[in-house]
This record gives sequence, structure tokens and C-alpha cells, in this order.
Amino acid sequence: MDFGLPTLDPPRLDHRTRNGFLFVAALVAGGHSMRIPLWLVLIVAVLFVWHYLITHHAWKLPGKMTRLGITLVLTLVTLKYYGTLFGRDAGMGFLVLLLGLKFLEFRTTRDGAVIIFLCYFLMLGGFLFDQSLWVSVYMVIVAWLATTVLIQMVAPSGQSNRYRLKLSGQLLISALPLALLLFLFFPRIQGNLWGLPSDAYSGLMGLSDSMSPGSISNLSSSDEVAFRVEFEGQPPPPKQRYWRAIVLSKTDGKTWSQADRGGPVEHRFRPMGTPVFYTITLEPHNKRWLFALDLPASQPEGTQLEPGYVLRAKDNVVQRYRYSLQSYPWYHTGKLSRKQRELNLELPKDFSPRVKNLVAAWRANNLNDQGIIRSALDYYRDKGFTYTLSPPLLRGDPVEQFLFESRRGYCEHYASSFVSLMRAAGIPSRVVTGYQGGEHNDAGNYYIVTQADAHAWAEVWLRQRGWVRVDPTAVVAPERIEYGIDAVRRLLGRGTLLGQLDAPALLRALKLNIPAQVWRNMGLYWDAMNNAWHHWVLDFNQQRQLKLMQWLGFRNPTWADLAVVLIGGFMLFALVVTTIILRRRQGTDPVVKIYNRFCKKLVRTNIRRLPWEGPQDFCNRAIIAQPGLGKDIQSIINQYIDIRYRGENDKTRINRFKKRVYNFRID
Amino acid sequence: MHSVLDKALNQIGQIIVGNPQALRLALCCLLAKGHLLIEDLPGVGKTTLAHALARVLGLEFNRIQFTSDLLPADIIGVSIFEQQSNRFRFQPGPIFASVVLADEINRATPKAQSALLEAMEERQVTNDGETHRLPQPFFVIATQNPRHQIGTFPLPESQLDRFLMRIELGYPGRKAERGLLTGGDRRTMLSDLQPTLSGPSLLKLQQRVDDIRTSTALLDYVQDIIEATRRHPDFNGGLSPRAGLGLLRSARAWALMEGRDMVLPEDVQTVLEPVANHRLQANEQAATVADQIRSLSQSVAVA
Repeated sequence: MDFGLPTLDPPRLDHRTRNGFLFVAALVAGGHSMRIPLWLVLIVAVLFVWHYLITHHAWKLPGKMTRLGITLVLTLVTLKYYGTLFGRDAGMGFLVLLLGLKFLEFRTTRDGAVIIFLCYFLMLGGFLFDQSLWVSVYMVIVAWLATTVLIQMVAPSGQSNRYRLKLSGQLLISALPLALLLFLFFPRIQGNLWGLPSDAYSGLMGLSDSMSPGSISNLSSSDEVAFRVEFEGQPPPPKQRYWRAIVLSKTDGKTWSQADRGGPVEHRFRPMGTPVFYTITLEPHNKRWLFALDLPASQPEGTQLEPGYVLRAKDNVVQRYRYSLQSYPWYHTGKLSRKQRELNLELPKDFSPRVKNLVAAWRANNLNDQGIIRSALDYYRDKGFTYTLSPPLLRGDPVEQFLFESRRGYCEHYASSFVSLMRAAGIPSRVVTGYQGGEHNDAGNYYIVTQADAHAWAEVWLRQRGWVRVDPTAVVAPERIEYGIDAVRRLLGRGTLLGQLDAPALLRALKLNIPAQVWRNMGLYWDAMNNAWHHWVLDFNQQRQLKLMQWLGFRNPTWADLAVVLIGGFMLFALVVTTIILRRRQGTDPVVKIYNRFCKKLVRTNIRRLPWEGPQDFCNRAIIAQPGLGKDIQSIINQYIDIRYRGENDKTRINRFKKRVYNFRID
Repeated sequence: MHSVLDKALNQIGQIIVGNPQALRLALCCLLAKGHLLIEDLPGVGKTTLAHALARVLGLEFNRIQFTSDLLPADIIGVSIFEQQSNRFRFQPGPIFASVVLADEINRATPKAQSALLEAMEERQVTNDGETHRLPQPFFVIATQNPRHQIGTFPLPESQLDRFLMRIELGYPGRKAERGLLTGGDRRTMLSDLQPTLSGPSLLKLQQRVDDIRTSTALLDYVQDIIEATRRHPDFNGGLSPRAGLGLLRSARAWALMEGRDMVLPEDVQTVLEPVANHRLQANEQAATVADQIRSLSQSVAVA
């Protein structure tokens, strides 16, 4: 309706500002592009291009009905695709779509503000999916640019882009202390805010609770981190870095699995030597088992030791989990109960007679248990066994096939066949799986254990020593134990036979060329940074907030205490900022600094300059109060007046003034 | 203190006793080429002060008593028909003097007030298309009764802004009053006053005011003060740019009177109250403006 009144024309935005908006929106939508369907990405891209044509090629903005139609259709399509418009995935997808649509009616500064705020919100939304350091850095940069565009919109002319970037950077940086305060003291709610579906962690790779040929070698190419370890003091040598997790005693000839519960509890042992102290940061694997060096002697809070000297969490580990414990690399486990003995001697009924015969031949040589073990290891060494990352598929009885025919295998083949041999010889034995080794990260001084470090080894029970670890893989591929899986992969990739080279030749062979070295170091640095990010930022939970509050002196911190700290912090921040602003103007002129110094000296004689007091007034007052110093005070202040108010501020005068103030003493 | 000015002040001080600071400010205002507004009760010596100033400075003095029926022509003069020459001749009014006392300015109607104020600003008078320059130096001392008195037309803010300073004389102290009571007749004393200055020498002094140095530090301070008045929550609006100029000029004049060749923050502080008092309007009571200005000047740091 036209009432004959002048219409209030809202401020239009120029082309360059609009480009900024498009750029930021594209960055934000791009950040979500991996999580939303491709068709949605394309539609939003088309909408952006459309807006570009509108601004730069004088296309007309679509009319109201067109806009309404497009919005309705696309909303329905989105609804059809997701089944809903709410929730994490659908909600973010829908918002990205709306961001694109908003550009079809983007004319005024108000629309611009809506777009930027939508961008901020979408950036935050990105953290619902991914909170890694990389994403955070990206978000900070985009937030910086978005703020810059906002500044450009509000004050479009006059300043350069560099100035705007600087200004918005300053704004963000000055918000940092408040953000930190909120991060540290805003009440934290434990648990999943978004009610993730129960299968959210199903895609995680890692060990499984049983072992069959091929189950561990599958992991040999995965560089995904299993856990990180920090040692207190000297770390144990590589051949002692066996991280046990699962003890497998039952076998059907192919698959090894855990024994049923209910066996006699066997987690006491006699430690020998000195313990190793260390802290493990475990990546979530949605299982209960925790990793510990052979053999763990303590159970951190929330964990328990279970039969087989393995550590278990109370619940499945679905978040990064950090625990500290100690282990004894040397130990004596003592007697074996009858039930345990039977369990660890069990063989499938149709156990291969060929294998039995092999063992019987060793036994016939009148060998004791240790002799049998040595014979078995010699058998691996001398009969042409090789270590391979891609073992051939075994048909029939895998143990027999491996021992007599293929003779190519990964750790699980060696471990399972070795345990079978031992059991056939009447020596109680079992398979242990977990990880072996770990790469040292110099940047963060911790060890990274990846999925590729997954390993299986054997334990035999000897009367004199209890359970003893025997790793048949070490006979065939000593490099696996000494230099780790990465070295093995590289050696095998080059066709080198394992177990053939001496140490210097091996080191030569393993030496990386410079680019590879640089790449590797960068990877390690990145991992160290990520680890720090996780440790200091993402893993700051309610518990650690509680600890921080206790450190601040609250014995039993409540939400009210948090509020007190927050408000107090805000006030402190405001105070500090105000002081800085007030001081900044005074502090700039060196002459004023010298003068202030002089005034400070006079404070000792109880003459305190009032902030608003001019030099002459102050001089008169000081002389009356301290007639003895009158001459000095007069001449110093006169010098000051000459420099600052008569404008005779050449260097020699200032220096003379400085010296005079410096030499001014009150006895 | 400048010796000539010192002498002049001494002489005036013999007649107007009890408030030397007001006398100094009045002289300072004059040196700064500004007009002076004296607000006080009748009988405290406003007129005598104006008269004494004119005499000591060796200037011509006229007094206009403002009443509610005063017309502009009563101030600036009229053209009268001269029969001999058969033409109109401008008969200058009482405004044509170096020192003009506009007594009880707020008793006149706004129309009469504006005639005076125009002359103050332009330093010239226009009558029947003819422009007549006012003498140099030209100095108006207006007196004003406190606003709450009956039958007054308060000056609008825009016109108050034309006065460089507003001072109050106040009652003399007990000792000063005794001197007044026992001393001789003020009128004879006035006529006995010997001029220590003259028009040309006053003009020269006014020029010297312009040579007083103001450093960047001082200008910073002046700007801080002005900004503070504008930001102060107790005032409706702060000092205008014209007021800022006046403040600086007054501070210069004060520095000259102090015998210095540069302005110090103290000079600004001294003249701030008379310069700002009538220009700032407090949200609450007018009586507290002086206090508020003092606290304001104490909120601005000097370095």
C-alpha cells in the first residue's frame, strides 16, 4: 500500500562486499560438504553462482513467488531425503540449504547480518561432527574472515582489506580471554548431548576378542592410532614392549577365543626387579579391554585386573581414555591350578596327527620342556619359514598347513601354531594378543602405537618360572620386534628377506631419504599437536573441571561456585582491560614516564601527586612539604615544564632531564 | 605577574575588596577578548567593578540599564533627521564605548537582548543599511540577577555561549566588609583612579596572549577536558567548539597574567569553571554545576 510517505530505502551493499559474503558462505558450506549429500552441495553451489550473476551481471533477483516456490520444493526434497528436518545431520544439511537460499533475497545489510550469523552457527554446528585440531583451525580462520566481512558491511568505505582483517583479528583475540574463562568454568554436562545412535562406534578398527588366521594381518596397513604412551623415566627396550590385552586359551583348530569365565582367578604374581611407570591415552575402541605392558601390577580407578593378567575397563571405552599404571617386565607367576592346566593343554579332538608326530619326535630325544621350546623355535628358523604381511589363505587344518606347507605367515600364524605345538607336547600354553612396539614421537616425547602394531604371541607355563612369554615371530622376523612394523613393511616392500641382515646393514637399509624424513617428522609433529589438543581441550571434562576448582581452593565445588568464578573472572578481565586502556595514553611519552618516575620517588617523602594535578601546583605543594628538597624539585619540574609545555623537547634536554631524575635521591 | 597588569589589579582591588580572584578572572576575560557575565545579587559591586575596570584601563565606559521596555534602538542608537543637512544622521547609542555595562541583562525582553548580543559577536552595528564599527577594544560586562528572581527573561543557551566567562562576586568577607564600611566613598575613589593602561596598550597585550605557547601535551589535556564534559552523564551536552576555543584563549590569557610564556594545565583548570559554568547545564540543580565541573576536572589526568 502506498500512503504517499517516502519509503525508507534500506542500505544496499556494493559488489565487493557481496563477494566477501559469497566467499565466507562458500567456505562455511565447504566445511560441511563432506557430510551433506552431493546433490545438496551442488544445489547450494548453484545458488551461490546465481547470486554472483545477480550482482555482477545485473541479473534480477527472483520474485517473491519464485523464491517461495524454490524454497518449498528444496525443503520438501531435503525432508524426503533425511526423513526429518531436525537432528544433527538433517538440521545441518537444511541450514546449509537455507544459507544458499538466503542469497536469493540478499539485498540489505539486514540480510547480510542474517547470513553472517547463519555462518557462525553453521561453523559451531561443524563441531558436532568433528572436533579435531584441523577442523578447529579452519573454523577459526573462517570466523576471522566472517567477522571481517561483517566489518566491511558496516563500514564499507575508506579502509583497506588489510586494516579490516587486522581489526577483526584484534576483535577475536580480545575475545579470547573471555572464551578461555567460559571454556574453563562454564558448567560441563557429562555424556552425549546428541544421543548418538548405539552403532556410532561400530566402524572402529582394532583387535577383536578372538583370533583366526588373517584377523591381525588385516590391521597391518592401518596407521590409525590405537593408543599413546608416556613413560616416566627410562622406557623399556623394544623387546619388552608387549602390550597385552586378550588371553586366548580355547581353540577349535582354526579360531582362538577367550576361555569362559569362572576359572580360578589368576592375577597375582611375584614381581621381580623394578617396575615401569607409564600413562596410556587410549583411543576409543568400543571394547572393555585396556592395554598394559607385561605384566600390570596396579589397577587404576575404574578398571580391574582379570584372569590372564589383563586389564579391563568397567564399561566399553567410547571416549578417549587416559590411565596411569605400573608394570613389572620381570615376574614369576607361580603355580598353575589343575583347571588352568587342563584349559591350557586342550586341543581340538581332530588335532593333526602330523603335528603330533613332529612333537613326538622331539620328545623322543628326551628333551625337557625348555628343550622342546627350543626345538620348536629352531624348526621355524631352519625350515624356511618367512614372515609376510599377506599370508596365503589356508585350507583344511590351518596349523598343519602352515607348519608343513605354506610356511608363510603373520604373527597370528606363528603364535597359534606354536601354542598348538606346545600343547601337543604337554606344555600348558596360550595365545596372547595385543600390540607390540610403538614409535617414539620426539616432538611430544611419547610413543604412538598404531593398529598396525597389533600382534599375537605365545605364553608357555614352565614349572620353574610360571608363565613365560615366547614370541615365535621374533625368530623369523627379529626386525618386527626390534624396529617395529613400519620397518618391516618397508623392508618387505623392497623385497629384503627378514632375519638376514646384520644391524648396521639394517640401519642403512632403513635410513630414510631427506624428503621422507621431513614428511615423517611433520607427521609426528602433527600428531603431537593433535595429542596436545585432545589432552588440553577436548578431554577437559567435568572431572578435570572439578580438579581445577579444587586447585583453586573450592573443596566441594558446586555450580554456584562455578558461577562465582565466572563472574569474578569477567570482572577481573574488565578491570584489567580498563587499566590497560587508561594506562596506554599516559605511558606512551617517554618524558611522562620519566616524570612519573620522579613523582614515584617523591611518594617516599609522602608527597603524592594527584592524577589531575598540574606540574606547577605539584611543585608548589611539594616545596612547602619538603623545603629541604625545594631546589631539586623546582629545577626538575621546571625542566619538565620546559620540555612538555614549552615544547623544547630536543634530545639533549630530555636526556639531561632523565639523568637529573635518575640522580635525584631522597636520603 | 605582568607588572602593568599587576598594578591595574592592585588599583581595582582597592575599590572592589574581598574577591581578588574574581577581579583577576575579569581582567583575564578582557585580555582574552571575551565578554564577561557577572551573575550576582544587586549591590555587591558589579557596576563598580565594571566602572573601575574601564577607568584603570583608560577606556571609555557606558552603562545601559536593561528594563522590560528597553528597545534595540536604546542600545545601538537611532538615525535622526538633521534639518541643516537635510538628511538622516546616525546618533550612536550607548553601545559605542570600549567598556559597556549591560546592567541586569535578563530584565529586558529577548528582542533587546539579541540586539546587544549581536553587537557583541560582530563587534559592529548595522543601522539603516549602514555599518558602524564599534571601538577597539570592545568589552561588554553584563550583569544578571540570579534566575529565581521575579521578572527576568533568562538568556537562552546560545546567547550565554557568547560570554566567555561568567563570574560571581559574592559577599565580601567580614574584614573586607569592615574596610568597605569604614573606607571612603566608592564614587570619589573611582574618579580618583589613575589609568595604568590605554586602549592601544591593551590591544598590544591582547596580541601577546596569542603568542603564549600551547604544546601538544597541553592541547591533549584541553581536548581531554572538553571530551569529558561531553561524556559526563550529569550534563546535558558538553562544551561547544566555540567554548573550547574560549577555554584555550582564557588559559593563554591567564598564563600571560601569571607571567609565563606557555600554558600549563593549571591555567586550564583555573579558567575552566568560569568558562564552563554558564554553558553546561546540569541535569539536576544549577547550584551544583561548579562542584560538578570541579569533580570533572579532577577526573581528567594530567601528565
